[in-house]
Amino acid sequence: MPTASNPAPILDRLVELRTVFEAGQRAVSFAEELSSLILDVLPLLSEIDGSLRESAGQMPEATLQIQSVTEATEVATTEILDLVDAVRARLSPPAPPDGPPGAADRLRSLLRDRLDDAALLADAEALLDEADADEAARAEAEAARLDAARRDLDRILVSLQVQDITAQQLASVNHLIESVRYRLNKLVRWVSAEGGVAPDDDGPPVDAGTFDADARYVRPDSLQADVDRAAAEALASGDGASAAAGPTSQDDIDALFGA
Amino acid sequence: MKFLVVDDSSTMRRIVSNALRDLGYTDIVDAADGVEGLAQLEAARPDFLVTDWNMPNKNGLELTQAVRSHPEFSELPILMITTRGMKEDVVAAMQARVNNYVVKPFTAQVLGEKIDAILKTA
Repeated sequence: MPTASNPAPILDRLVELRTVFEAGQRAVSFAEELSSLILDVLPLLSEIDGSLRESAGQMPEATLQIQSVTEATEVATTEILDLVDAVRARLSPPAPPDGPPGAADRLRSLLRDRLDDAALLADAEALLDEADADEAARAEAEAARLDAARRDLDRILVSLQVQDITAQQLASVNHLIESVRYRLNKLVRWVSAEGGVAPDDDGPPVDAGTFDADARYVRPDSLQADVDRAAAEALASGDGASAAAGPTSQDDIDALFGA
Repeated sequence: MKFLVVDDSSTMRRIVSNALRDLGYTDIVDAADGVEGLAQLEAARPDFLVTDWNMPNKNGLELTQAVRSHPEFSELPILMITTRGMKEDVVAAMQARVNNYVVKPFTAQVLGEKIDAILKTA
């Protein structure tokens, strides 16, 4: 109880009041700064909102453009495949002759029947044999040339697999764009929401998709040895024990995977 | 021997079918995804299935599991052809009981070797 002779409690109260007053002043100052900051930030938020809307709005078009690239490459690949098929058909080896003997054989037979001069007949037959050998060599060279052309076409068929691989890569990019768009839309709704409370309706989440994001075009068959090794290791370690009723010996593994 | 080729890429269906014809297998039917593949399985009753992994509706792993649990086709030879070359992918495919695994891009020679290896152990 304060008394005239003991003013300490009053002084204590005054100190407390001053502390509260000072704290209040600091709070008012902070509130003023906060208010000023909000006033500064509001136009910025509005600009962000606009930018987000614009960015999110452009994404469907980007997705469609990528999709159209995939479709265009598929059409082009189909056209190349058609041409490859047509060329392969033309490169098919000719059927072996099936019919009357060829001109050389008929001439040989005629000479044997009509020519009495044995030496001349022998010379003529030697020349015909030489012509046959030349023809066989030409046919062999032609067959080799056709084989080489067919092998080149096979290589083109392997290279055309790049279309499927790039289609998966593009699908992966599209999926990424769609995921970013989904999050941007969520952000737009949050920024523009009344009272800072975003509506619950975020729309359906982006589908996981059916692509291999790691798909890459490498030298044909270059990954196959790694895959065969991984399969053999998995079988040996039991990871793939359920596969094909579980052959586990190395011989079985080699037989199963054609090692 | 009748082959069923399942791949969502028309390019790949055609390339695989061409390669099979080159190997002497001319009886080929195809399907664009796992669901269509199962329908073709019933309709065409193939002796051999070649399937992609990444496909809509039902992917290659799901198709393999469906085939393995089918009373008539549980032992059907299955070759998976895919871009997925990671070890965990191979293990997952083996656990689904594919008989062999080919990584894209592949040559007809490797395709033939894998088919021969499967048929040898079938």
